[in-house]
Amino acid sequence: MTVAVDRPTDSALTAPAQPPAKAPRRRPRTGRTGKNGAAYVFLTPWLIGAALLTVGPMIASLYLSFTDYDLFSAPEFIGIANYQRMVEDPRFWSAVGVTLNYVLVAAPLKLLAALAIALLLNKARRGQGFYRSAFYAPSLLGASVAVALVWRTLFANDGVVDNGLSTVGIDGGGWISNPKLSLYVLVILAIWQFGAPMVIFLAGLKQIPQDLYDASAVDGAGKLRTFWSVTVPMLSPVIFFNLVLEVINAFQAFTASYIISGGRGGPIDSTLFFTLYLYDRAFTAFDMGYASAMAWVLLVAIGIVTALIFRSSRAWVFYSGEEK
Amino acid sequence: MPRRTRPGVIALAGIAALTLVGATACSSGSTEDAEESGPVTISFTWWGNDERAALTEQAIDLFEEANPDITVKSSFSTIDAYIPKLATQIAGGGAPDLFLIPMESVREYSSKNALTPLTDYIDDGTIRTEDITEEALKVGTIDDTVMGLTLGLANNAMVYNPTVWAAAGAEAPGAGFTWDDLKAAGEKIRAASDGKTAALSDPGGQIAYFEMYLLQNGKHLFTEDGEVGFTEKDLADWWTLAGELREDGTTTDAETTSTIDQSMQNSGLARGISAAEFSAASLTGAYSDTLGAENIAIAPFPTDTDESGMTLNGTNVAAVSSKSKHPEAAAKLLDFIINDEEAGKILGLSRGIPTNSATYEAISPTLEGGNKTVSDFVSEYQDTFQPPAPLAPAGASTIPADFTLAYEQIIFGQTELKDAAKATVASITSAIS
Repeated sequence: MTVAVDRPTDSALTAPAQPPAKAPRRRPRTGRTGKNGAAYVFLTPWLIGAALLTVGPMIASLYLSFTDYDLFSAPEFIGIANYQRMVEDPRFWSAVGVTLNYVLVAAPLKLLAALAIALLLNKARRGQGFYRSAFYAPSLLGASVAVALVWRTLFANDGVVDNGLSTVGIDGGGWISNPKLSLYVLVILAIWQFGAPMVIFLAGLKQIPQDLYDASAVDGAGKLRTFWSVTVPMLSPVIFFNLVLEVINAFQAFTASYIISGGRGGPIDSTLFFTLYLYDRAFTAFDMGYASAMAWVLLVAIGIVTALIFRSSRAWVFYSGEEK
Repeated sequence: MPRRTRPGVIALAGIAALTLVGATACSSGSTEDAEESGPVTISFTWWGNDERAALTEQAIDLFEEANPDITVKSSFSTIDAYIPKLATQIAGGGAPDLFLIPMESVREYSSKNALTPLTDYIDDGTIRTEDITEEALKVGTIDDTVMGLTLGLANNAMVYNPTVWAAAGAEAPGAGFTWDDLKAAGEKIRAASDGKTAALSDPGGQIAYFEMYLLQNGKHLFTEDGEVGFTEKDLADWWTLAGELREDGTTTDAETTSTIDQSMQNSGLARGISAAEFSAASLTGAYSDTLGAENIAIAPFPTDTDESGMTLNGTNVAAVSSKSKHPEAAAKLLDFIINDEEAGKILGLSRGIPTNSATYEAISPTLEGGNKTVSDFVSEYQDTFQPPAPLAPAGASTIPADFTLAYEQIIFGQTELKDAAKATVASITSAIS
């Protein structure tokens, strides 16, 4: 039997030969640098903005934090005197206390509310779309001045809340003028804006595979057990993400406290958030150096807290697909 | 094999993007007027309430009619919002051409070179000063240079609601009214209103009324040399007096007091929580518009000494920014507001007694309602007025807010009176040094 050895056709032979024939004429860029170069060129407008509007001012602020600067005359270098003054300033510590109190109370409660409502809205029910939008709306408006003004009126002496509580026998008077309750007006405002984390939780819930629930049902697990052992671990990356975001936001809260306390930090500094005190020092006391120092302290503090949350995430955040 | 984009296209796209950025940046910035003697736009800001704003707008319209190539952009806010806003604008280089300065900050802004001295404009007649009274001129004069002019002189006094006082059977305040008389009135007014209305909004935390107390006892808040003019004991006495009034219900309680700020609309009197308010008499017109002229009267402060504690002080200082591009136009506007007869008639006593004596004489007979009350009061009690206090030294801007905070800490029970008085004197001394 003759074995006919097929030789490749002419075209097949010559085709691969063409590119090498062209190649020496122009050195091709490797795919990577060519694409990256284009990317950077298109990013330039944003990079310029980031440099001029974010990084530049941050560096200027760092410099100013070591100076005495009253906005009118040139800054005068004074070393770490601003930071030293901060440690001895009772109002500074009271602002730190108020802010920490707010972060520790408002952020977890907001997430709890978001998770609870997300669980309720997870099942398809009538009007689900409407409720989702309705709950999301406050988080869009909530940070605005208008809502803060409404909140202030609601919780004022003889306001809606005061009258409502009186009808059930709690005669407390307005919340915003009571130093013990004024912060809770702001906490309630924060919790009311649970819509944004709720939507993210909803997305996370939908990603939990149904067979996990089926398996736990087969094993005879009750609702609470299922929630704790299936839903929460599967949701933990989302919880982690929301927690970091909410904590960072809570540290930076300003508008609500400015409006509701009339710019002064509420009865005896009970709503004097860190950012509000910073604003007061910068623009009413003409102490821009001190305010810049406060800004950097805030930045470092938020960084440390975020880093702590990240570290702790190894213990409780479960990314499916990992080996535990 | 991915398509390789040609380097030329990338470069072109990059240039296009950058040009777009540049174009938008440029186009949003150019709203400047040309610097010649063509049409000019100046900005004017002031603090106050709606009534005062309406009157000021009318006066500005008149000015614009008389000076067709000057347009005035005006804006106003309440005093609490005004102070940080002004500071930020000046610091950011965007100061209004003509603006009002709160009395405690005049020296501070002047020392920071934020103001244009007005001597040139007075010398060349742009700002006419022949009819301005001596005291009025002195208000804005620092080290013999006129840095600004006050728009009105006013005294602080006790503004009260005679209807409520009469209904409660309380003796109306007037000459010879003592603090004990006030306490007696307080009991009656509380009783007549089921405990809801106080005789007076708590003045303890307002440094202006501490100054009143000092004047009644022959002292000053700050001396001419810019030193603290009182002792810890004086402050403790004032706060003790305020404490007595508060404890027996004559004045508003802690929670109510913390909702009262310096504006008229949030005052106890305007909201019906108090039957009287220590206030600038220049606000009488605004109170009358809110509560009705028959429900507003003015009385001198209660006093236990021979001195009344009342002075005729400037209510503000109007100044031209040192960075103004059109200081001449701003000076013209200032001159118009102070000296023009029509403008004077419109503005009336909304910022106090007009500093132009001719204007004041012209409008006195036509005053009615709240304004007439003020004018009559000034004529009646002029002889009991004490000499006005010197301008607060530089660094005094933060003192009023710190004073109020210290008092709030006392009334909410956070600090002991003696400790608070000590700390406050220390902080005031260090603020102005």
